Amino acid sequence: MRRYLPFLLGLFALAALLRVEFFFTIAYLFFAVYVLARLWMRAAPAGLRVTRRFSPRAFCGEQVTVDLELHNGGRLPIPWVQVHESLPVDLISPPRAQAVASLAPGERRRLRYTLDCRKRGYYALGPLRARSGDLLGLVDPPPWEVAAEHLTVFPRVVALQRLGLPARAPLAALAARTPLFEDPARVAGVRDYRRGDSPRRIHWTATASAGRLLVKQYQPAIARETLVVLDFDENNYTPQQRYEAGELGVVVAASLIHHIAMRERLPAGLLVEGFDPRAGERVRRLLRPRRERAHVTLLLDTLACIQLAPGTPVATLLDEARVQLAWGTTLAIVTPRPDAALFATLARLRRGGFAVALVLVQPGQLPANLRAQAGLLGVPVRRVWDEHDLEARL
Amino acid sequence: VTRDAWLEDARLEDALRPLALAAMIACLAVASVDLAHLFAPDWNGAYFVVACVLASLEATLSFHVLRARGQGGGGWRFRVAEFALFFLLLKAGRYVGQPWAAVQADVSQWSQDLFTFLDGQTVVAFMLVFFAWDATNDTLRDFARLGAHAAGAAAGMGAPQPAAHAARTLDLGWLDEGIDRPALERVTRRFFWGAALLLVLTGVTRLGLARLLQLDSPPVPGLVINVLVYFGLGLALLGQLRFASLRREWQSQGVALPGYLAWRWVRYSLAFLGLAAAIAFVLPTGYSLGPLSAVATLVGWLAWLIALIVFVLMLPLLWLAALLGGLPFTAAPPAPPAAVEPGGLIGSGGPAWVQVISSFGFWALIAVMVLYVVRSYTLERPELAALLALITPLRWLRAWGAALRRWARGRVRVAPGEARAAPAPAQRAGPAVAWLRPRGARERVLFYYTSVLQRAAAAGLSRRAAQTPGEYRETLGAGLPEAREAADTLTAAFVEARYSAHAVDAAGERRARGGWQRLRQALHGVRR
Repeated sequence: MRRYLPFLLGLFALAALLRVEFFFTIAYLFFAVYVLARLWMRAAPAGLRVTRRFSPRAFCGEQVTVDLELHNGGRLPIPWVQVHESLPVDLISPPRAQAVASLAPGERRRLRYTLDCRKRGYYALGPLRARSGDLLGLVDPPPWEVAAEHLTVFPRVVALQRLGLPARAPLAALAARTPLFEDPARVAGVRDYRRGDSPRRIHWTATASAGRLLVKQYQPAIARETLVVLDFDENNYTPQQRYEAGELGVVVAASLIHHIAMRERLPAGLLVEGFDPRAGERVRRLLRPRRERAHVTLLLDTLACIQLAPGTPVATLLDEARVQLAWGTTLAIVTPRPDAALFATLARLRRGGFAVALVLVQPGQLPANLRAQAGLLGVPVRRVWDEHDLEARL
Repeated sequence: VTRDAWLEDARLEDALRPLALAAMIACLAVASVDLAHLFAPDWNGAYFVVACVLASLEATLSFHVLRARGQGGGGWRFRVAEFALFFLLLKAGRYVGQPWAAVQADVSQWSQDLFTFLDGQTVVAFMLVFFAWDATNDTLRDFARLGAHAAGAAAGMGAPQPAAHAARTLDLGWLDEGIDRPALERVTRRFFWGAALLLVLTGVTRLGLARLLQLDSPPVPGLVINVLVYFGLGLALLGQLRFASLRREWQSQGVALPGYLAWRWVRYSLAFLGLAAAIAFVLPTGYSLGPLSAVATLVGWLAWLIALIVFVLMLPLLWLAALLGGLPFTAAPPAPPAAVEPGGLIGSGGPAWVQVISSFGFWALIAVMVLYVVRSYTLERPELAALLALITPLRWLRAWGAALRRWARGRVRVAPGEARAAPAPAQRAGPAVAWLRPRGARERVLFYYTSVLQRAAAAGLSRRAAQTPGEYRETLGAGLPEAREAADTLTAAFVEARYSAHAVDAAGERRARGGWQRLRQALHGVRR
């Protein structure tokens, strides 16, 4: 109300000029209305607390219900407040949630909306913008914002029936005939203690039961670790298939990791380079193989957020990462288009004691020359183009 | 029917608004009649008041009838019939209370001289009634524009509702108000002008023409019912209008309205206005010294105080001069100003000094309120504040006030950057004369941006000459992470205002103002 203050000044002037005592009362009334409205609008919105309650992670295909709670923690009522939450268009249409409420002191109101997680990603819920005002429109406080929170939608995970990856690799969870390592997580049995055995190998429970020192015997393995390498170099994807191939590559990587870590209970890791919206820049993530559930969540988090970006070729990535990997680690490389440099790197890796498997994300049949080249190196190759392929061929 | 549904019922709104308008018109008519009694004490003005109320109610009826017939502004035959009816009613009302013979005599003259039918009293009354009718009609039209009652408001907060306008679905589009601001301004302007007219009419009537220019005449006590009713109804109507406008805006945005909102609005409005009225009725309204006498007395005491200080400072010199000259030392302090005689007071009750002090308190209270209003007004209009800042005495006052505030907060040590309270005019954005130009939305947005540039520079976030607005936004965002959104908003508004050819709308200007205010707060925190 732009003319309120000039009118108020006029009221004071008229009251002083006409000298009617009641006019001063009227001027006081309008002055009090203005001052109280300002004070109210300064104090009341400050007490507004907005809380979002939702599960911050979800799998593709799930629905996430978000409870938006408005709580007036102040001592004054908030006559009206309009809230507007910006939401990702990939999860809800129309991409917003909005409501109007009036909040008494201490009162809580809830706005509930449901997000349909149709696509993996890292989504901002919000920012929530709120505005309020007084009852007469005298004070127009600027709208304020509540920072956005994020929802991570994991990529789709396909249950793999068969992996068909190299037998030397623990992808198939096979024990090696020539033991180089022993897997302390796989106890094969116990035997009598011999001089020189590490005290850490003593099986105290069995020792107590048998009455003599017994030590654990572990299952031998040449490699316990699998690293899934996802080629997310945008230059390696044709523009026509960039979206489908990229997303399918993520699904393949997530399914492999899930299978290895959750079904086989073996360590799984991830190597990928792409744009990470959390960091706001292109990043390289080398998450070394581990088997903890939290680590799997971290891997899926990374796969949920990563986006295609021009970056380092996968062959260079592998060359740079190999020094950080344990000997005998299986590398499952997911790529849309292998080139000569990649095959050269694969040959070096094979010679270096790594087990290698190649998963091509591309339509059509495997080219004969590619199959022959991989055959020469002893690298198993699988082609995937849709999720059905993924389940059937891997 | 629940209470909430009853309050939401459009029929209630349609019934109460015209009644409130008619009552306000009646208040004005009563004030007019009271004033007319000063000149014509025997005139019976009751019929005029009734005619004004009837005209207002008839305006409501005709507005709805013509609207239903689809002739909002037409129907001239209808109008002619209305006005003729008004005139005849006024003519008939004039004869109320007069003897039948006098009426017959007057009527008999109509055929001989037509101008006896169109007598001055009736014509003037007709013009005033027309004024009441027209004001009601215009107000109803604005009401219709502001708060067209959209049926089917959903109750309670629920799932997101589909919006009527796709443009409101993205980003800040939700802030674009659906309120017809010109209509709202017209309604408030009408109310304010009506209030001013009412006060003038009532004031002149109460004070009397003879005492109008005698500023030291005593104030007129007593409650003025029609003024109280007018202002009470006006405030209630403005509150209801605000609610209706917002309701329409929210419904156009597809926002579900909670069913309890109307009742809460009524409850909070009553509490709010009740508190304001309680404060208003508690504050003093009477005084014994007129404003001029109060100022004169104050100036007299201040002059005496200064003279006394000078006298005390000069005392050693005078004593030395007397000693060297061999003269007797006879210096005497300046005499205090004459005390206000009880006869000089325009009020009564209590000792004179109590009346003087209470009068000073009263005028000081008024002065504080007026200063607060002026300050608020200038703060709401940054271009006016910038213009006032160019006036040197005001700048001194402002610097003095700022220093006083710092001192009061115990911040005696001033940082080097804060030593100068107000920047020199040459350092302000744009030439000084530019502030004298009337400012539109585009200029306001540019002002907000340049204001932020100046404040940010003072806080150590100055813009490099080669930085584009987008680059500088990143600098601001990095320095003030809590105001990053505000920086984005203001920069976007600035780029639009600076480089676009189309007009900058009021909503864009309001968004920029919001960003400016948030950034100003954030920068204030940095400087502090």
